[in-house]
Order: sequence, then structure tokens, then C-alpha cells
Amino acid sequence: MSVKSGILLFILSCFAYPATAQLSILPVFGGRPIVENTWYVSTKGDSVQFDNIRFYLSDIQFEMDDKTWIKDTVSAHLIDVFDPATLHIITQKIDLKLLKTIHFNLGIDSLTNVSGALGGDLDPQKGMYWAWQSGYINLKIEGRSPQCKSRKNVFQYHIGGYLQPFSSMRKIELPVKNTIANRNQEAIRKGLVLTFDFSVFFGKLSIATQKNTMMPGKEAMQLADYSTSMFSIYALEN
Amino acid sequence: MRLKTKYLVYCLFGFFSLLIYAFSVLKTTPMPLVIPESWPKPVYDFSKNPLTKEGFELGRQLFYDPILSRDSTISCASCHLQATGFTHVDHDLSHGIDDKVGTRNSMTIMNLAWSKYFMWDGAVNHLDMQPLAPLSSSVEMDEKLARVIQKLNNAKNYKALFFSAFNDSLATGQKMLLAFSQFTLHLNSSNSKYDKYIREEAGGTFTDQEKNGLQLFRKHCASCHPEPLFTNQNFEKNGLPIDPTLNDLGRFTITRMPVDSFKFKVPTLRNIQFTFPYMHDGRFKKLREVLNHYTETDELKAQIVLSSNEKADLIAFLLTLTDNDFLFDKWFGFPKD
Repeated sequence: MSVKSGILLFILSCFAYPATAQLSILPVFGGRPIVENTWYVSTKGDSVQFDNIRFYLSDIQFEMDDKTWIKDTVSAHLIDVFDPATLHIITQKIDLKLLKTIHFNLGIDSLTNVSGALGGDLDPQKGMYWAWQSGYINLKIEGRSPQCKSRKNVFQYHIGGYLQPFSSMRKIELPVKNTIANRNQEAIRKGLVLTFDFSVFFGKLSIATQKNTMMPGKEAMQLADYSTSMFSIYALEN
Repeated sequence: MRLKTKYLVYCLFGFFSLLIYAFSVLKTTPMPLVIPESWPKPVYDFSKNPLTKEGFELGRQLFYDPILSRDSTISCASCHLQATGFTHVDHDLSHGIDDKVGTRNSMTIMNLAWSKYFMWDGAVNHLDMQPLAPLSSSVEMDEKLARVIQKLNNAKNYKALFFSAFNDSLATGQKMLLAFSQFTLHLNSSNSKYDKYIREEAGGTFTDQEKNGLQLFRKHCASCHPEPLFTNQNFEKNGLPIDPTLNDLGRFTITRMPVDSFKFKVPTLRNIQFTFPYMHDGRFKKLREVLNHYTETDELKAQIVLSSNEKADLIAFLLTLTDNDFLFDKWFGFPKD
């Protein structure tokens, strides 16, 4: 066999046995995907619109039926709800039939927070790092609501803080579901889909009084707690 | 003949390819930190940012460049002048962009490899991240990191500097911050008269007054300002009454723990002769005022009692912490090309 045909065979084999899989992120509000300049109504009756939703997903791990764990090679992914390129995470190939549970962190752990200048999605130039006080912002939600009693009805939640007792990163553990009620979305036809339902967060929040949270503390801890039940994971075969 | 020419062309092509490759591969010059004998182990993890001459030069350029500020008026050196121990002399509260005045006296920059926390309240948890605070403060440089990176990528001189330091001409937030650390980690002061006295070197002969001052220092001051760094790197409450125009709660602002109220970072005393005014809000202009505060306050764990003569001796000792090699080292100064 010549070298050329060997290389060709190798390239072909890469296509035939992909070593990676894709995790799709689907941000929704109730049943509807989140898009810019669109009003959504929370279960509390508040109208909300979003300008910016960004957050870190870190330390993603897949727990399989046979008790093996598969760890994502990238430590942290910055997800921007309005940047479609960030809504697909490439991970190692996993057998969706055997996937039992997905584990990840919403936010950045305390060790990473004290590790100095990091690159990629963790580069402070991404705008998810506090300058006045060291630390990553785990979750940023900005938008407006007529019910929010602030200037221009704007709300800004910058949830972060890594020092105890105000450590706002949340560990999430989700059992994998194999069916999804609303499958009309292109994005959720097949594969591994992680949905984020922000109506859960806004169903708990008192938007009239909670206008701005932009530092570590009790309020950030409460908002972080609201965010933990937003997620579901689906492993969908065609 | 034709075949020979072809062969020669191949050879030349190969040679030039290798030449280009040789120049494109990073050739940095290691420049590790010189740690004075008997000093403790530095806190900074050099394995994550090995110090090089090229990284230092990039960091030095950035330190003296006002491109970091919103309107290109303020550089790091605006508030951190080498000749005064890299602090802002003569102003109780340091001022920045548009003549805006901050709420604290700028800190000195020296021997930072041994510091775990930065700023008077320890708001910054790693030396790499320190430049972000003045950069984005609305009363200092009032600029956004993403815009600074954009400006650096548009500036011709930085392409070469980033390339030589990181083998990649593209500026990023991470690379800029690492380069800053490369420069500031080298700003080390360990050659004062005191150091020469300890090392029993020429120029290190103490007068009786200085010797007595050192004894008094070790008795009354060393629990917070231990040798050789002259700081315990902790946050302490030193009994200063709160300034009601500032209401600065210090470390509490960061930890939100009542026990941290009115605690501030213990600064080094090296080069103290030139780093006036003193304290986090620059309330004392003279060392004598500082000592008077410490003998008058009753909020310390142990009351400090010093006679007027003893205060003079203590000040004489503190002046031996002046390190002219550090204050006038051209290598730390404005980069002239």
C-alpha cells in the first residue's frame, strides 16, 4: 500500500468513525426559543425582553450506564445566547443510548478564579471577568421589563463570586431524557440537546424590586439558586 | 545539467524554508527572577508564565504606554513613578483620567512575586489580574479591556513585541496580562543600606542610631512588617479613625465579613523615604506623623511606647530601606528606543 492511499484511508476512517459528538444548547422561554427584541411573559405576569445572556458551562462530564465517566477536554465554554456559534459544543464521541447523566458547572470554580491570566473562553477580554474585584461572572442576564422599577426599566444580573460564603457557581446534575415534548425545532431534531428555560428563573424572581445585581453577595447567591432548575438534557435518536 | 539545476533549486528552496522556519520559531531569552538569599519562596507560579527578556520588554512598553487609557492620557506610570518607589507622590488620593480623584493613595510596586493579594482591600487575587482594575476604573484609565486589545492589535510597534514574546503577533487579554506580570515581577528592591548591613557588605555600616532604630523596629513594628519584605502580606486594622468623607471599610468591601471592617493591606516599608504620603488615604505626609499615630492609638494589640529620641532613631532606620539601585535602575524606566 502506498503512503498516499494510506493517508487517504486514514482521512476516510476519520469520517467513518467520528471521534467527536455535538452538544446543542437550546435557550428557551417557556416553549419558545429566545430571540432578540421579542417579548416573553413570565408565569408571574412580567413582560421581559433580553439584550444579553451569557454564561459559562464548565467541567462537563458524561456518566454512562456502565458507570464510566467521560470528561470534556475543554474546561470551560462561554455560551452567548445570541451568538449561534457558541450554541454547539464539540465533545468526545459518546454512545447516546448508554448515556445516563450529564454533570456540569454553571460558572467557574474557585481554583480557576485564582489562577491568573487564562486564555480562550476564559480570557478576561471576553467581558465575563470583574475588574474591580477579581473573579469571573458566571451568568449575565440583561434586558428590560415594564414591571422593573429601574431607569429605562432595565434589569442587569451579573451573577458571580467565588469566595465562601458567596460562592455562586452551581453544580448541575441532570438525568438524560430520551423524549422531548416539543420537537418542532430544527435545533432539536436529534443528538444531545441541553435546554435552558429562562422562564423558570423569571418565575422565581421579583423583577419589580430586584433590578440590579452586579457583585458577589446574598442576592447573587439567591439568583444562582434560581438558575439551577432551568436545565434539561435530551439524548435524541433520529 | 538540467537535472543538476533542478537539484540545486530544490536545495536552495529547502535551505530557505529552514531559514524561515528558524526565524519563525520562538527564541525567547529566559530571564528568571533573582531571589535574594534567605528570602522566602515567592508566591507567584512562574511555571505558568516563565520570565523572558522579551516578555519583560513588552510588559515595560505597556507599563509606560498611555494607549491603555480611554483618551491616551494616562499610563501606569502616571500613578506609579519609579523614582518614588512606583507610587504617586504628593497626593493623598491619587488622580487619573480627566483630573478625577480616586478614593485611595496608589500603592507601591515592588517585590510583588511575594504578594498573594493586591490593592489596599485585596480586591485582586492574582498579580496577572491586577492591571484590569486601574484599566477599567472610571477615575483612573476608564477603558475597556476589549478596546485596549483592539488598539494594541492596530498599533504597528506591538505586533513585533507580542511576536517576540509569545511567537504570535496577535494581542489577547491573556498575553497582555502575562506580559505585565513579566515586567512587574522584576521590580525588586533588595539592595538598600539595610540589605547591605544584613549581608555585611560594603556600604552597610549602620550608625548607633540606625542600630537602635532596627532594635526598636524589631520590637514594635515587625509583627506586621517582618523582614525581609517588611510586610506580613495580611490585612490589619491599625487604629486609624475612619475618614467620614470617604467611609472606606477596606477589606470588608470585598469579603463582606464584619471582622474585616477597617482592615487594609499591610504595605511594604521598603523605600518608605520616598513613598509619602502614607496610609491608604495618604493622610500622613511625614514619617513622624505615622509614628505619632502608632504611639497615640489605643486600638493595637499592644500599646507602642516610644520616646521622641526613639522615634528619631526608628526613622533613621527606616531611611536605610532606601534602595537607590532600584529607584534609578534604567532597566525599569521609560523604554527609549
